[in-house]
Amino acid sequence: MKAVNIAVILLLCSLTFVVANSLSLTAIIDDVIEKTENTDDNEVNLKETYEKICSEFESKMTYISLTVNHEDLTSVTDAFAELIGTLEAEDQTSFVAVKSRLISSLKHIRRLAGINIDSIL
Amino acid sequence: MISIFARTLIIYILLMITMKMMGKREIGELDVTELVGALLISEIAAIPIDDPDLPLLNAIIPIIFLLSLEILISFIKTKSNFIKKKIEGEPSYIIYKGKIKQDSLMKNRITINEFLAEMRSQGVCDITDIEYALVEQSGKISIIKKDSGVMAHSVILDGDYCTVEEKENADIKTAANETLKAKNLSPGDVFLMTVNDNGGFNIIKKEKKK
Repeated sequence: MKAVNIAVILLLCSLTFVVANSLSLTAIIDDVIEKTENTDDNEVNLKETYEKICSEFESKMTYISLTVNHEDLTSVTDAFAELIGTLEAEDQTSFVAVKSRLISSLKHIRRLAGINIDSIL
Repeated sequence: MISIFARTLIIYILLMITMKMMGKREIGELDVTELVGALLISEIAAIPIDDPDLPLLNAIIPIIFLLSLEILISFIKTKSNFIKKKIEGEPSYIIYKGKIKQDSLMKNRITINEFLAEMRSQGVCDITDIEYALVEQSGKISIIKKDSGVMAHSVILDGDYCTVEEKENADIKTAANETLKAKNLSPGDVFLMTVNDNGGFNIIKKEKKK
């Protein structure tokens, strides 16, 4: 009976963690996507804006890396680094492409982290 | 490299705790759910050791989930004979009162060659010496020779009727009910009831819970 009680507790704890983690990860990624998409690409301090978004994302990296594939995380941090690089080089064409790639990487993580049929399949 | 070392150690400790809690028996005695659980756990455990890019929790959470599931299913099996029968199955006769049941052999996917090999490995030289042969839930074949004495067949296990032999099932069940009625018992009161070839019933009542 003791083992059964432990099993029920473990089951409930793991289910709670999985659901809570999924919801919080989704919220974090949604926040980054929203900030990235809503940034005015014509503003003066664009580089500082993206550096701020990137550092906010990196501050939560330890928590995100608990359950997100490190390769997926690396693709996001690489995209941020490239984006800031294109802004420094004032390469508008590459900036648009890299921004699109960044948003795509973030949406990929969001899709897999969320509670939906895609994450199961 | 240190991360692989640490991950291996964590997964190893987790598996030790998991296997201890699951109370594993020898491989040959595992039922379907236990075998599936053991296979899955071993596969999942290897993944984060093999691929450092994958988070450790991607293995820990499924292992904990499988452990919980396994313990809960084991508990449910003790409470529900129906579930237990569906998961573990029942022993089935392939020789009953000296007669080979060819349909049972086919149902259990045992060829006559396999049966004869098992027979010889148990020291039986002639199939006509066999009174009963059963395929147990574990897949092992039990052979009872004609000179082994009177065989007792299970009628009630833990409050539930089990199949003795299809043709005689109804007669045995009727006789068992009459015996229980005479003793003011119901099938739910019985832990084990057996019937021997002479038609004698043996009853072990369930112990009252303290």
